Amino acid sequence: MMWVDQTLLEGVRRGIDKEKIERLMQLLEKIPINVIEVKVTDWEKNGLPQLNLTQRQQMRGKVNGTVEEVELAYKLGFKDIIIDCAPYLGQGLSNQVCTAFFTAQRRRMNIGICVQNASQFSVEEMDLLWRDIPIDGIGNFIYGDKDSLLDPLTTSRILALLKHKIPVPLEFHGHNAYGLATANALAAYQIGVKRIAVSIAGIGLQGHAALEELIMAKKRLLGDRTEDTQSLAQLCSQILSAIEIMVPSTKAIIGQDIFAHESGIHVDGMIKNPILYEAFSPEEVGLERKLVIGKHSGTASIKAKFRYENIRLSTGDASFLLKQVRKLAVAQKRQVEDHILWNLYKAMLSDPNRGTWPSEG
Amino acid sequence: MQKSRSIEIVDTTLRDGEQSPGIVFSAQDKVIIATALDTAGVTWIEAGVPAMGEEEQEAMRLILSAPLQAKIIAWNRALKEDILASVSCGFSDLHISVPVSDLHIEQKLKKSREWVLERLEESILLAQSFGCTVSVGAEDASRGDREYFLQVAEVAAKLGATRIRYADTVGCLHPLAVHSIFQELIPRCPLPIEVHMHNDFGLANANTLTALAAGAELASATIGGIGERAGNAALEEVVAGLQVVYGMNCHVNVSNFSHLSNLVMEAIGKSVFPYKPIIGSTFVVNDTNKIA
Repeated sequence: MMWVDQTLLEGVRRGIDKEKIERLMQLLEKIPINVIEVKVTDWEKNGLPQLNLTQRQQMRGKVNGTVEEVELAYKLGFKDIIIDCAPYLGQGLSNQVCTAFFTAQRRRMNIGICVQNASQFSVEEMDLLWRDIPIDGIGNFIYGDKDSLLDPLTTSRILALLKHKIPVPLEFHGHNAYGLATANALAAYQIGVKRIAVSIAGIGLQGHAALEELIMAKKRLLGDRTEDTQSLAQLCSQILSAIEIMVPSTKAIIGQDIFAHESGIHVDGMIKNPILYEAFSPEEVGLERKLVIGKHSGTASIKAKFRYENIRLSTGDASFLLKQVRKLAVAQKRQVEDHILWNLYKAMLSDPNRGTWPSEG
Repeated sequence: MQKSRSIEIVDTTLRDGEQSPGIVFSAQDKVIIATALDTAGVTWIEAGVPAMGEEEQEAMRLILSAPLQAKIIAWNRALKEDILASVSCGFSDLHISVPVSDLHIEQKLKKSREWVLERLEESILLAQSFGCTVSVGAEDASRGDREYFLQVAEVAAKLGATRIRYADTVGCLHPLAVHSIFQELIPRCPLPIEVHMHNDFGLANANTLTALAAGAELASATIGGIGERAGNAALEEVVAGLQVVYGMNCHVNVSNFSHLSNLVMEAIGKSVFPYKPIIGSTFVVNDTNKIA
């Protein structure tokens, strides 16, 4: 499987410097990412130097279909390039794109062609377009869904057909305008597409498939063998923080709070058996389970919270505390922090009437 | 024809959305958000869980007294106390949820399938005795036996429930699986199906849309996808995806989404991830956002 990274490309677009790029590349290697894509003009715009040896080996330069950009990529030291194009229906590749292509060939670069708007065409129309592409000269063909027009079933149907028709490796590059990128990429993977564009947390203009979601979906939903995932959440956070992006606390797979439980029913279930309300265990991605006390808590949650402190609460005490917790959570519009819960507990202990409250289920 | 069907949205921002740990909407927040959802054309609003206590009940009464076109739903377990709490708030649309996977029935409730059906029947009858309309929720349906889901639907249909919610409680489905499950369920299910998908693998929206395309009629979703753990299907993505990608009808106005998401984010004191589809700042259309 070859994951084609779009994270660094977004980082460069956002203007990160040379040191951060190096750090990002080291981190991406651990994920593991196989190819890192960057936009050649963004690289130059940021005043970044010629590629070093590692970069040359791992990076692929994206160029639009002009001779100027191909020459720029050559000058910066890119060995592998992708020529982007968005042809009009029935017109084939433009002369400009063809000239760019021949220039890259003369420069002995490894060339891939990306039809960014491929999803606008039917499979028959793709066939016509395909006749125009100089097949002997390219190493791979990238099917692009720039307008996020695809759904998972269509993705799987179209790519399964193309995989048979196209004699070079097929790569899928989807986008996320309607929140379907991970699902489409997973569908592509399921029908055997071996090269897929991804980014950490799905970042990028118009979004991408999120690598961490694909890795875990592959492992947990399809039961495929995967690389070790125990540092996935931490690595993804480190990668994003190198680009100055904060991971949302509820982001699937990697958010800090995705194993935080508050609602009474869920906490009760979690105590009985975590798999009741978790699709996989926190340890699997390097996160921790948390018990949050707040408006949605039940007596079981309050009891569990105190059990962690080796205190066994009676049901009467737990429901007394629960009433106060709910009032307070509503008043302050958030959960009740541990030290405040502790204060409520201490106040209850010193209450002379304690023990006379009716017990509630 | 499938394409001319119109999909209805059951918003659960105020119920499942609020169950996201640490989030509390004030009564006023709930009324403001419900009103905005109503204005946007959402037909069903699941407002909360009256059994949770006085504070929630007060908020529920406020929403019910607001002049809204949308129908307001209370979430209930199949318990007498839950239903009485909802009825006392003045609800006439009740959602009654029961676990349907053996995992949940045996390990959480420590009961049997028959026991669940009995409680469901009692609860539906109790709600109906107060003149309430009932929809039934099948918790953890995705990890349960399909035949049992259909059995629950049969019982609910026989008693006059209006629809059944298929819940992927831990978000463990993927779209191709959803397609084959719903191909089988739709022709056999006696009630319209509402889908409630969670986002643990980032697939909630895709799973929702796939189920709708296969014949489910309603989608449960939240603004910004807020909800338990990694959240739910995002309402704005479901609606936009339906309209643009699937070419299906859904009478919710997409131009209200930034307003709705602002209201919700302000109420919970969070900001939208810039890369969140539809409402994230990188998706807001302007000249610098040309594709990479």
